[in-house]
Amino acid sequence: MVKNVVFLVHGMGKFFSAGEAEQRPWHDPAIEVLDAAWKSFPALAGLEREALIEYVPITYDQIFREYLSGMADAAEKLHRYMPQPEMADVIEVLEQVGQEQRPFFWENIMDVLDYRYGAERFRYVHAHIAHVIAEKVQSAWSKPGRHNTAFSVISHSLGTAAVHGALNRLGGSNLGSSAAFRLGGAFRVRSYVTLANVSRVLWYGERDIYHGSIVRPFTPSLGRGYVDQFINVRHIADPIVAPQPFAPGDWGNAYQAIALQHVRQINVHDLTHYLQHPRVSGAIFRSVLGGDAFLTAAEIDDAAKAFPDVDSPDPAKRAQIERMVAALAKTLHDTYGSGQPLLWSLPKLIALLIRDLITQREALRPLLGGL
Amino acid sequence: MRARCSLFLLLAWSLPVHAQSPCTWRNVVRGEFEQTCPLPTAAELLDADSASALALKPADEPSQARVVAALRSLAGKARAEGPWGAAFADRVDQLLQHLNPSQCDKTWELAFSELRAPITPLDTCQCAFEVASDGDPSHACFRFAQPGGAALPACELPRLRVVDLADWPQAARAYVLLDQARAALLALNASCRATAIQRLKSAHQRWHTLATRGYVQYPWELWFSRAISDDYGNYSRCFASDPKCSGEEGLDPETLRPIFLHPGVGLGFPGFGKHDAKVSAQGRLVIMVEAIGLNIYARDFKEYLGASLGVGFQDANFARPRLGAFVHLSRYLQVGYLLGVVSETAGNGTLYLSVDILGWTNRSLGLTEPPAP
Repeated sequence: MVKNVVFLVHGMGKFFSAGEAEQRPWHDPAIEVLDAAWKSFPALAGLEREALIEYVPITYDQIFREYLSGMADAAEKLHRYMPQPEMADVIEVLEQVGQEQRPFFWENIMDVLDYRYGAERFRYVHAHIAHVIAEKVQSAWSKPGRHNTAFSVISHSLGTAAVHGALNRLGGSNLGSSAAFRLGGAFRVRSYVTLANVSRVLWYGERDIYHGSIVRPFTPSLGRGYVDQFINVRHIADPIVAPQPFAPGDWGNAYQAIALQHVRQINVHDLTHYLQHPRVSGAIFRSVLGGDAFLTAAEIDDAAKAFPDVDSPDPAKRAQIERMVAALAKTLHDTYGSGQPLLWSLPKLIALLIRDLITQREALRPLLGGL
Repeated sequence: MRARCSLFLLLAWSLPVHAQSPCTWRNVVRGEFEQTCPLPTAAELLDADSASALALKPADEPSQARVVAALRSLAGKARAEGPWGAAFADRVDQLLQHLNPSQCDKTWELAFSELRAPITPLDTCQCAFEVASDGDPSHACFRFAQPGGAALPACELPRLRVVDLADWPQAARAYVLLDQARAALLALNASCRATAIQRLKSAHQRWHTLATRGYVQYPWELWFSRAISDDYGNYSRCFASDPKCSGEEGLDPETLRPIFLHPGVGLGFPGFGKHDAKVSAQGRLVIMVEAIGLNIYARDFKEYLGASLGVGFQDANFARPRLGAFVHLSRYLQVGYLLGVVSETAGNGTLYLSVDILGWTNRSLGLTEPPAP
């Protein structure tokens, strides 16, 4: 019916947009995985994806790099804004991480802590993301025949908190005396997809996030929301989402939860790893495009049945990896509870989660060799 | 026999290769209009002037007044289509009566005109298209009788109005009228969107300029800033207070930014005190700390002026501090005056010049600033 715009928002780590660095833009592999998934569904394979979905990546990592440029040592970077007790917590956990893994540790923890503790930088992040979204909306709607273009969001990890804040800013109140993007107006998000949602951990509202945010679907008790459909995905062995998992209980049919347990790479938290599973890509396409007319629930089920959790011809190896994933999930649940109040300071918690992600990667590495 | 074959071939050649497929709800959702589900043009449904105005072609320069008039005409046509049209026309009339296209501070509730591919579970209702969304009073599912006489499934979803139409041509008229209205209403509201976008752009530019051209603040300065700032410099307080960092609240960085225990290095030129023998052109290393001060930024954050009080240590002699006052004249240039207060340096005056070492280092080492937004 209409072309859809899907914003992609990355998580923690180093992310460069096209042309910014020699590295491949972060969104290229994600879009490749989505396009491969598109072609894997027989119902969609004959349709031109570009005619129906336009992916618009939003990069905000440069905001952290702007402030930290020139500081070579990561610990020194952290010293620039972390209170001393919390800094000590992070260093304590760091000492449990092997030397070879420390770059991965710093690469991932810096963004999260900078977002939370870097004074007002989170406001810059929100303003940036909101600006990109608003400009794209205007651009799309001004083109002939695209006035019914719908907008969706796929966010990952730290990006779930960042874009949540951005949408809150965009839709919560007037901007420049204009209510054009305010909740109740012309703009809303059709499909809001969160992969490894950490927005609850980074939420400090008086009310809980399910009831205090406009970034939710309509419910009879809460009224209008900024989102039509909310799809939340978590991997059971992903440490990053273990504490305080996102789980609204009263959002009705407009909220869909997907739990994954597949393994295709050592970093189960990775964006592309989440997108690889047909339950995720299928849910995205079905929600964005228009339900059964494009892709039925049964077709997604068929694709999921053909996608083993572990892709190995060796049944013994498959079983071994599946047992490990289950064991990792249990350990995470035992360690971090299920929705209980946090026992640690946030910096320590983030440090522990990244340490656990590293530990998990190293545990999976020998098993996935050759797969 | 030969004549029959020729006649057969003639007929086969003249018939279309594929008979036109009947239009189904799936075709509409998939945007397969053209031959399968033909749509009338606006010119076929409306008077020529209204159709022209709603085409929104810049060359035709449709004024807002013309577009508004065309919308009223469109609403009149919709009213004739049945109950759905009457409700739709009422919303259009209400909107146009109470809102001025130049009035941006009120929400234009345009959901009633939005045509959508059905969101689950509306697809189980075989909706050809959905209008508005759950929670909006105009939320509706438009359906039309499917080929083969198959009955449409029951569709009783809460808050949803189901509009069952006799055939595709009726549904197509509804589609075009809603589509035209949507395009026009969005066009009327475009300047309001542009206002919001410009506001976001200017905020974004301010943050970027502060980050790349502002006076660097060390962690304890940021802590000090948070301690004395309003709610929005502080992450947790931002969430706790209404309206929760939305809209304008905390959108821009603060223009008053404290200086607190800020270390620096510069050159001192002695001889400017009342007890000094003569002015010296030989610069001496000075390590200084600005104890307390304030930078005041221009609204665009491209320039700032600041002043502070602090202490300097000429030749890194920490036994003989010199009290000082400093003025920031730009990101890189700082001037000050240091007065000795201890033993033989008492009364000696030093003119102080400094640069923002960190920022200077970044540029001289070619550490590129990220591109402007």
